[in-house]
Amino acid sequence: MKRFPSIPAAISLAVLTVFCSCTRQGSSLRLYTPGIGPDWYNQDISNLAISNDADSLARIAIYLSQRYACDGQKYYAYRLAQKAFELNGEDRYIALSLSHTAYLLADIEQDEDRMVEFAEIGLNAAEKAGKEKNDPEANYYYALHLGLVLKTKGLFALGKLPKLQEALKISMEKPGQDMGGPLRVLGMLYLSAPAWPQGIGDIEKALELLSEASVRYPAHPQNHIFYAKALIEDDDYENAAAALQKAEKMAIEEIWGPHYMKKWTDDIKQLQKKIPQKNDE
Amino acid sequence: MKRSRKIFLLMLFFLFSIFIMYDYNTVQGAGNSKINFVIVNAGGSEIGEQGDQIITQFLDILTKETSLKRSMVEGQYFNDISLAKAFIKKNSNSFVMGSLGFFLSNRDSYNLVPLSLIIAGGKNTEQYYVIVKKGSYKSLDSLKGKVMSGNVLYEDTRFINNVIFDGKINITEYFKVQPTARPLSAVRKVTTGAIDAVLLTGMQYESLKKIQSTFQNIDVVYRSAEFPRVGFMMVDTESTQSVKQEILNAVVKMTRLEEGKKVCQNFGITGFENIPSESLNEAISKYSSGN
Repeated sequence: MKRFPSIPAAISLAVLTVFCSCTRQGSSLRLYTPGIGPDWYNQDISNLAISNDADSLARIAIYLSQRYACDGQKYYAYRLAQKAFELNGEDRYIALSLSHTAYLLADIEQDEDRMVEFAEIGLNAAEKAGKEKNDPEANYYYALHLGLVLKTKGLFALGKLPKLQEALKISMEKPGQDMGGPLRVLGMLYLSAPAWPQGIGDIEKALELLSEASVRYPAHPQNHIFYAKALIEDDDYENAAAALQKAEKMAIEEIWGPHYMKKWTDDIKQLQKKIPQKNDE
Repeated sequence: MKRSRKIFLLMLFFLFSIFIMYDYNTVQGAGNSKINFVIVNAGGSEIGEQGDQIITQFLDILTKETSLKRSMVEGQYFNDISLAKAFIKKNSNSFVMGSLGFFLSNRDSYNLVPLSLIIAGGKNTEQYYVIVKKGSYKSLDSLKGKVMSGNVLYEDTRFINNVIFDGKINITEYFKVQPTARPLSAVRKVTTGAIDAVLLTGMQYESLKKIQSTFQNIDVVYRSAEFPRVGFMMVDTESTQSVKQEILNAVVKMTRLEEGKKVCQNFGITGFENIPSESLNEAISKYSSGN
């Protein structure tokens, strides 16, 4: 049986475990204590052998920036992508890497102002990556960031929804990106926007797109969660319950990390509450 | 030293009194109870959390233009008329954004007073349309016994019979009525022949023109007369009377302010207009006549 060599070492390990637990409890960006674990936030990236190689920096950024990664790793990836973008802001792949890393930070950021800051950086990068040239990936990231910004604007966002819709329609040329992301996000937009004639909301289109997302890309829990949401709106509780069961089986920490596992599990529970139980009828 | 302290205390007292008086007047002005903004959208969609946020923002902007304290004003949205009526019954200090049908069917029971017309698409009148699949039916007569859908069917039946259809038909006997909260879906069903007809508002009909593929596949078999587009009304109480002018001014001003204009455009509203007292006489008389 292995034993800790000393009590201070054991304490250090415990502290390290807490810090490296990838923010099990919350989702705000956390700082690591200097000297314990990787210094994602302050490590001088100019010391890297690739510090002047924009392409390599962007590749490492994409490699590190995954949903399951802990907050610090996502932030480090973002720093690398930012550096790469500084070196070469005209390259599509590099701009996409910045938009991608900024999105994964914006999506977990709890402070609204900081979330908007990341999203605006992501929007700018998506534009550079070819949003206007109808690049489906650039438009997907553009839509994701715009969606986050609009979420904070409420009433003033409604007029911008057609712009979001347009970007998502272009992103649909590559529906498989982010495991059915364009289908999922456009479907959700149709579900939550004000309905016709005031808005672009359209539950039939939402059901169609979200059903396709959940069938073609069943690995992503949100495809099932959003589909269940649309089914509940359509009073189809039986199929909604089935979709939530699939989501429950896929929203696991081993694949998505603690933040998304918790977030999606909470979403699933909230939706399950909306499904009338048989003895309620 | 003592004198300056006295002056300071006097000034403080003076400021405090002004504050108290302002607060008292504001509360008195609102009749010492909350003022409600009730939005009634019969058969409309659920608005959820985002809708609540939108109502909150709307009231934030509106109250900025009045002396009303924001905390004294609350907003409520209803897509079910019976729930809206129950709320208004309990909370009579209410301003209501609703349809002509809502006004006519509730003006006596809730002492409703019309305040302004809504201008949308450049018009301050409302007209209703019955649409069918192109070439399927020629007139209202040929639709007898057929399926009619639309969210307008959630409106008061007497209003639909006496005002929209001018007392010529009783819709519950004439059609197989299928109200739906999804009017666009109903229009699609008409074009595929799954249902026979849809009753649309003017705004819905105009907006169909933007969906050319659908618009080209429909015919209009009935157009109602045009009626004033009543949109804004209030329950006549001492409290609502006391703030009526201020609220009206703020609502009208909203469509002129950059911020407010954007808000109103989201709902297709381009302006508000005073209601000439006699302009509703015809609609009132039509509603009251017949059964």
